[in-house]
Amino acid sequence: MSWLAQLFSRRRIYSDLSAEIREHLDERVEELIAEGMPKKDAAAAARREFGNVTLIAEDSREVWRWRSIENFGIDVRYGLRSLRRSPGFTTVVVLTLALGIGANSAIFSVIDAVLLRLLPFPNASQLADLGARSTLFDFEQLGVSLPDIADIRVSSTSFSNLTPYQLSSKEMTGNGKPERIEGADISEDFFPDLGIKPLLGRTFVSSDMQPGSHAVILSHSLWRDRFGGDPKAIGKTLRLDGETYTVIGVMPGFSSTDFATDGKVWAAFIPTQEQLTARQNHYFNVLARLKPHTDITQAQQELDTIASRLANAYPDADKGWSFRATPLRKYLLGDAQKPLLVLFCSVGFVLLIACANVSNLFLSRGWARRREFAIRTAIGATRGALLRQLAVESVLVALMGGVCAFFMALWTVRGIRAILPPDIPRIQDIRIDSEVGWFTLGAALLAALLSGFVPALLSSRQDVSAAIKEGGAGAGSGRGHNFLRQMLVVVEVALAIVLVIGATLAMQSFARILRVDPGFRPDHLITMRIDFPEFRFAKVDQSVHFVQQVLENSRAIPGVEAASAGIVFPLGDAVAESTFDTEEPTSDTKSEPRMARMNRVEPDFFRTFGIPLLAGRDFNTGDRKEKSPVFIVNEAFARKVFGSVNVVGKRLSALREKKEPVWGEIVGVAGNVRALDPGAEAKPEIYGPFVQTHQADGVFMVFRTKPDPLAIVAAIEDRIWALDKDRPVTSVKTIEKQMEENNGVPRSQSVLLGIFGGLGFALAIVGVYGVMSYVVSQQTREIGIRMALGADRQKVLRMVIVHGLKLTLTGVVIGVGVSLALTRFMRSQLFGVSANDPVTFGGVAILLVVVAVAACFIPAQRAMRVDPMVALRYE
Amino acid sequence: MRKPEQRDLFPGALEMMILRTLRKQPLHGYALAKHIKHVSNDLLQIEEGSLYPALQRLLKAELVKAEWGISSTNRRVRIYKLTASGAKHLQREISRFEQMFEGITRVLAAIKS
Repeated sequence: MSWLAQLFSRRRIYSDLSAEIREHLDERVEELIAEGMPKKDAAAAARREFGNVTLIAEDSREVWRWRSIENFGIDVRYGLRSLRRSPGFTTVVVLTLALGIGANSAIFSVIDAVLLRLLPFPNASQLADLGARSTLFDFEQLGVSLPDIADIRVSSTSFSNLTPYQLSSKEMTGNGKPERIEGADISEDFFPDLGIKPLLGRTFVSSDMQPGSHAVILSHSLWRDRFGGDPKAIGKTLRLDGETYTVIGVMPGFSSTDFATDGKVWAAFIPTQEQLTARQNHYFNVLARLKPHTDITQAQQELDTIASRLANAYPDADKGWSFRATPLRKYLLGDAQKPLLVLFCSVGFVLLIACANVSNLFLSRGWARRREFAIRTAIGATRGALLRQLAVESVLVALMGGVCAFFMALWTVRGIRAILPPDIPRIQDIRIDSEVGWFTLGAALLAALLSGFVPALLSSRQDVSAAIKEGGAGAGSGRGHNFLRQMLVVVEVALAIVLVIGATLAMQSFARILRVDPGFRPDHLITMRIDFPEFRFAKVDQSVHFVQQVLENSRAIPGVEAASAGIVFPLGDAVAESTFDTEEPTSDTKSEPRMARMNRVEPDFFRTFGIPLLAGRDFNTGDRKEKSPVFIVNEAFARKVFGSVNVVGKRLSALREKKEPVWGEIVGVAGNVRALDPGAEAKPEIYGPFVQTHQADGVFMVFRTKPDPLAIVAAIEDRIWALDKDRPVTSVKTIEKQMEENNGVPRSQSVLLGIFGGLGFALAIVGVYGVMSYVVSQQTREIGIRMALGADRQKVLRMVIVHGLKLTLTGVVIGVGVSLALTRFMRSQLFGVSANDPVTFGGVAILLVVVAVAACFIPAQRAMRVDPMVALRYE
Repeated sequence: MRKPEQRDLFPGALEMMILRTLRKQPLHGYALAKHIKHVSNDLLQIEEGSLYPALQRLLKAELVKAEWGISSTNRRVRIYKLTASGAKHLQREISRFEQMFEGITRVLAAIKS
């Protein structure tokens, strides 16, 4: 009979059985009465002959029972009772596991949100970003020109659609403070391609794609903030870039992605005739959807063919350019993956250490319970039954640990989100949800297996007679236990070494980043940005004039010590490059074209930032637009191009827009500024006076203040709005804050790795302590004998410590070996410290040994105080 | 933990007697108990009830099958029959038992002489 049929027919079997027994008794009674026995005696006699009816019925039913499952309930009840009986053990185990599992759950919630969770678009795996690379520029992902997109569209068979779009922010006015809101100009295919429908109204249709159409789609958040979530917002208007736009749609609240959809406002992308034909305008973003069943590598091969064909056909515009299709998820992820995997790895180690500790506790408990097991074995329990009992107990504590871990993750996730750099994509999506719950459950079960399996095997192996005899705890007993216990300590120490070395490397790297001389004085500086959109600043002179007026008025504000402005913010991730030439032949090779970073700055720029001038002078009001160009170069430029810093007076031409170079004199040499990448060489850079610029879409302004720089923001904003009440002021930030943000990844890495390293370290030390205490308690008798025979207390102390030291050293050696193999995966994230830094390795090893020996000291002292008389009588 | 088997003379003895009895004719529980008591000359002091767990085991192993029917004394009884595999099992058990018994006899004889 199959077990399923059994399950269903069991009820009938049982009722048949009781009916049958009843009939049996009745028949016997009847027979006895027929033989002449009085009725009352007959019933008793029948029962006597039959035996214990209840017991027999139960035995009979048991034949049919599905034992494993039903006994499981008993095991659980028994396990809970036994755990309740030793609350100390249970608490320590549950807490240890909760720490280990909780750290994993918390980090998993980050991994899940950032790396694993699918983008919130249908068939998101078919979405890709189409970008370009150029041999001229050192950038991963550049844009594509509209004629090139048109050609790809015609020649490619891999894409079902290619949608160009342009990120564009807009100035929103007419509602309190002027604001600059991020957004994108998109074509009508954009939202259908992503596969998302508007919450209200509609998305763009072809009639919106006409010049003069001022239709706009709002994000959920802008709709909520600006229109209070009004369901009748469709058809209402708002002022954007000085014009009136009509709301045609509201999009649902996206989970945020660092993408065009992260914007708050979408307008129609209406390309100009020039944009449609200018092949050299490599600056459009493209959202691509692959045809179903098309591989991205396949698409990439096709793109390579098209790129080389275009480069041949249009060498002026496309030579050196290639296209690059990146899965949208990867494109959005950027390089956030590796630090997260390092973190995940480190919490995994923490869990392993926690499991080793728990394993040790289980071993001790198994040893302490050996009489209980022996008695159970003696009265008929099989080894399987004992194993099952122990397995149930480890799963129970692991599940309790898992529950605590889940709550720990709930409470810590906010902290972790705060520690992680805010520019990690989708970081707002981090949450503790069912995925994290399942992960936690899985981690708990894994922990139960890791920590409970071997101890259960060992504890259930019973030598009944030896265990029942009271004196079983003498030397030589539980050899398997002791070996395993010491192995576990070695493993723990090894894992802790790896963790702590990883954490120390990250912290050292971060400390060195902080110690890098940025080339300026970052304190008491505040910066803010003003943009000069064409609709308001048609000529560059207007922008220049505006900036000069704001600066002049701001210098009068009490507390402002210096003020200046420039086009390229030195701490931002945007750079501008320009071709240049020198009048006299120079030492650097004449490779064409020669490129350098280019910035345009107002006078006082170097003084405000605190960048030293190494030679010559600063720009001043005498450097006018109509005069011949003047330049200040940085030290890196001077050394690279001229081989010395004595370059004042040499002549230079930047931006050869015309055929003939326009020569200008170098009037000063400034110190290098190290901005974004502290490890990189300082880049050659040319500064020119802001007044001599040909183009200014916007500037950042910078103020050095005497008091807290944030205190003067309002005063400066007042000066700006006095000149133009509709000018949004954005990116208001102290320079120190900006630098902190730039160091976000190494900071969070070192903080989190530091926390997990510390956790692992503490757990490992607790493990060493626990095992040495245990060893001492096991050896009480041996120690007693030794003392009785004349060993002095110092010797006993030494014996215990040497024992602990041996274990620790073995672990340290293994751990250092593993670290040598593993830390190279961190190499790309380290700055100024080698992945195999001997000082770190040695220091951590010594630290761990010292602390471990200290942990041995407590049990060793206990051993030293053993009274031989007591120890010998004790058994 | 209780081990029902140990309530017999030796493991499987009761089952063997049941199967042996049922080979001759299908019987219900009470008749079966009476018959076994009778043929063993009351030598085997088993409780009547211990028959039932054994019967359940045989049912589960599909060595016997049971059907409700009416006995000669006109009561509703559950009549057990030997199945084909039960007959085969009995054959095997008997020969195993005989071998064992022969072995024991020899050892006992050796001690006596």
